[in-house]
Amino acid sequence: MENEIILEVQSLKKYFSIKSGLFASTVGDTVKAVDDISFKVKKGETVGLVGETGSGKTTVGRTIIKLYEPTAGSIIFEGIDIAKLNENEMKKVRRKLQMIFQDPYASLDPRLTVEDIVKEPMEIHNLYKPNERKERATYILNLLGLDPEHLTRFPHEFSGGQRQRIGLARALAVEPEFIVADEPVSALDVSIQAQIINTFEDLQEKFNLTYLFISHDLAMVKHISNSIIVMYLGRIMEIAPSGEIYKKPLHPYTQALISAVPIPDPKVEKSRERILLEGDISSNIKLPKGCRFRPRCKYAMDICKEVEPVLEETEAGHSVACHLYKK
Amino acid sequence: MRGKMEPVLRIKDLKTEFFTYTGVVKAVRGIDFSVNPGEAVGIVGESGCGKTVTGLSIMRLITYPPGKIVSGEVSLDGTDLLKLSESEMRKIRGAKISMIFQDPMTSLNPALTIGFQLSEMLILHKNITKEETKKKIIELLSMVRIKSPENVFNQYPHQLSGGMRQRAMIALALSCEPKIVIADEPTTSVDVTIQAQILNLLQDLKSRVNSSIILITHNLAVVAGLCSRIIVMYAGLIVEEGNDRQVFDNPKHPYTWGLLRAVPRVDEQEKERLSTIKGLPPDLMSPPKGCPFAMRCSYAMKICFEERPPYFNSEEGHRTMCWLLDKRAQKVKRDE
Repeated sequence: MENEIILEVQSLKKYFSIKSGLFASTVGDTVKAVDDISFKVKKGETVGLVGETGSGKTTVGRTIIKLYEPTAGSIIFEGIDIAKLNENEMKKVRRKLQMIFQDPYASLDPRLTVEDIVKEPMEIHNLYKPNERKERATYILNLLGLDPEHLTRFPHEFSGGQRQRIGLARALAVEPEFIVADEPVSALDVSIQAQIINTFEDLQEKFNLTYLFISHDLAMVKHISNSIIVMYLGRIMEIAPSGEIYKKPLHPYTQALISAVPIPDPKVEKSRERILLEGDISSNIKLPKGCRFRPRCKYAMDICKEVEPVLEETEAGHSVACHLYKK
Repeated sequence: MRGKMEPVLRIKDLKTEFFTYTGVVKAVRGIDFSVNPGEAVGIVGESGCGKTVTGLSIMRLITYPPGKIVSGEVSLDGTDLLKLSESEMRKIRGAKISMIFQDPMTSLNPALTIGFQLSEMLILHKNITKEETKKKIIELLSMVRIKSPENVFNQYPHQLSGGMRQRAMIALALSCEPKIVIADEPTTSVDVTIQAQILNLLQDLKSRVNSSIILITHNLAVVAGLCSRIIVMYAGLIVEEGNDRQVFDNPKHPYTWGLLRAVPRVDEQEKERLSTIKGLPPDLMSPPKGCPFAMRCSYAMKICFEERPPYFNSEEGHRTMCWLLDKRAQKVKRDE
C-alpha cells in the first residue's frame, strides 16, 4: 500500500517585496505569490497543480525545492522540515528532490555536452565512482529513449522533445524520489507531449517516483495526476481526486477552468455551454478583501466581500474554499 | 455548399521555399484549397509542417532572401495576389486580408500607443477624419470587449495584459472589415480562460463582420468549436481535408488518427495511455519521394515509400492523401 506521505506542506507563504529606488530598501508593497497553503503528497503518486498565469503555481514548485527561501511555513519532506535547513544541509536533501523546468531551451547549459550535463549532478552529490559515471549516464539515456552516441553532442543539436528528455536524464541521474515538473510539456508539439508524458508515467512505475506536476493544461494534469490542486492568486481553491474534478467540480473557478478547456470533438464543442470568466486574474499586490475570486465570480454573495473562505473538506479527499459549500 | 458559392480565396499549387546556406528547404510543397465567404477554416499540424508559411505566403510576407514563393496562385476575389506589385499589395494587406499573429507582445510596436497603431491602419486604407478615426477605434476596442476603451486608446502595449493585447491585435486586424482574417496560433501564448474568451470573440465577430477566418493551430481541440472545415497539413502538404464531422468523426489519414489520440481529453472517463506518433517529421531539405508520413506510419505499405499518394475522395468535400484508400490496399481499422 502506498499510503506513506512523502511531502507535507503546512501554511507555506512566499512573499516578494518590491524594491525600487536608488537605495533599494523600500519595503513597500509585497507580492503575496503564495499565501498560506497546505497540502500533502503521497509517495508514488502524482499531484497536479493548476491555475492561470500569476496564480503562484511555479512559486510553490520552486519554494518546495528551496530555490526560493519560504517566508513562513514548513515543508516536511520524509519527516524533516526542509524549510529550516541551511544551504549545506539542504544539499543532501536536494539529491532526492529534483526539478524539471518549462523551457527546454533555457534550462540546459549550451556549452556543456550531454555527458557533462548528466554527469554534473552526480559530481556535485559525489555519487558513483568517477569512472562509473559515464556508464550511469549511458544507462539513463537508454532508459529515456536517447542514443548513447548523443553523449558527445551539445544541447543545440537536439529538438525540444529531446532536450526535455535530457533535462529528465539530468534529474534522474542522482536517483531522486520526488520530482517537481514545472510545465514540462507546454513548449512542445502535441505528438511530442504525449511521448514525454508516457515517459513520465513509465519512470514513475519503474522507480516509484513522486511528482508534483505543474501546468495550466487541465486536460493534461487530469490525465497524469492522482489528485489535483487548483490555485488562484496564491491560495488553494480546491483539492480533488483527478477523477472527481471533471465530474464534480465544486469551486466556481474550477468550473470555469474546466469549461474553458476545448474538447477535440465538434459535436461536444459546438453545443457546449461555456462559463466565460470576465477579465484577467487580478494583481496580487492589492488583493480584494474577502474571497480572492469574488471579482470574477458570478455566484458572489455578500459574505464573499467580507470573509475569506477557508479550505474545508466536503468529502474524503475533496476540499474546497468557497462560501457556497459552508455547512 | 460547394459550387453554389464563389470562394473568396482560392489557392492553387502554392509552393514556398527557403534558400539557405545548407540547402533549399521546401516548406510548402504545392497546396490547393479555397475559403468560402463567412467560412472558418482550420489548418492544423505539428511545428514545421508549413502552416505558418502558408499564412505568410497568402499575406505575401515571405521575405526574400531566404524565402520565396516559387510557384502557384493566391486569388482573392479573382485577383492573383502573387502577380501584384508591392505597392498594390499594400493596399490589400490590412484592408481586404489581415493577420493576427501568435505573439501579441512582439507584434505590437512597444513605443506607440494602441490608439496610434490602430489609427495607422484606418488612415492608410480609409479616407476619414481624425475625429472619426478615434470614434471608430473606440468602437472597435469595445467590440473586442475591452473595458474602458478610452483609456486603452492612450495606453502602450506593455500596460496591457496578454489577453488584452491579443484583443487589441484582433481589433487591429478587423479595423478595415477585411474579407479574410488569418489567425496564426492566436491563443497559444495565453491561459485557457483567456483562450476561451478569444475563441468566443472570434466566433462572435465571424457572424457579425462576416469575414472568413483561417485559424492556424497545432491544437485540434481549438478548431473543433470554431471551424466548419479542417485542413490537416504535414511536411508542407495537405494530407487531409474535410468538414468538421468528417475529420473528427471519420478521419481517414493515419496522421490525423495520431493527432487526435495524442491529446488527453478533459472529459475522458478512464485514464488511457496516450498514443504517440513515433519519430519526427521528415527533413524538408530532401523530402522523401513517397508519402511524407510513411516512415512514421504503422500501416505503411511498399508503395508508400515509392510514390506519393494522390488525393482520394471518400465523400463530398473529404479528400485524403493516403494509399490506404486505394481499392487495392488492404482495409485497415483505425484503433480507437
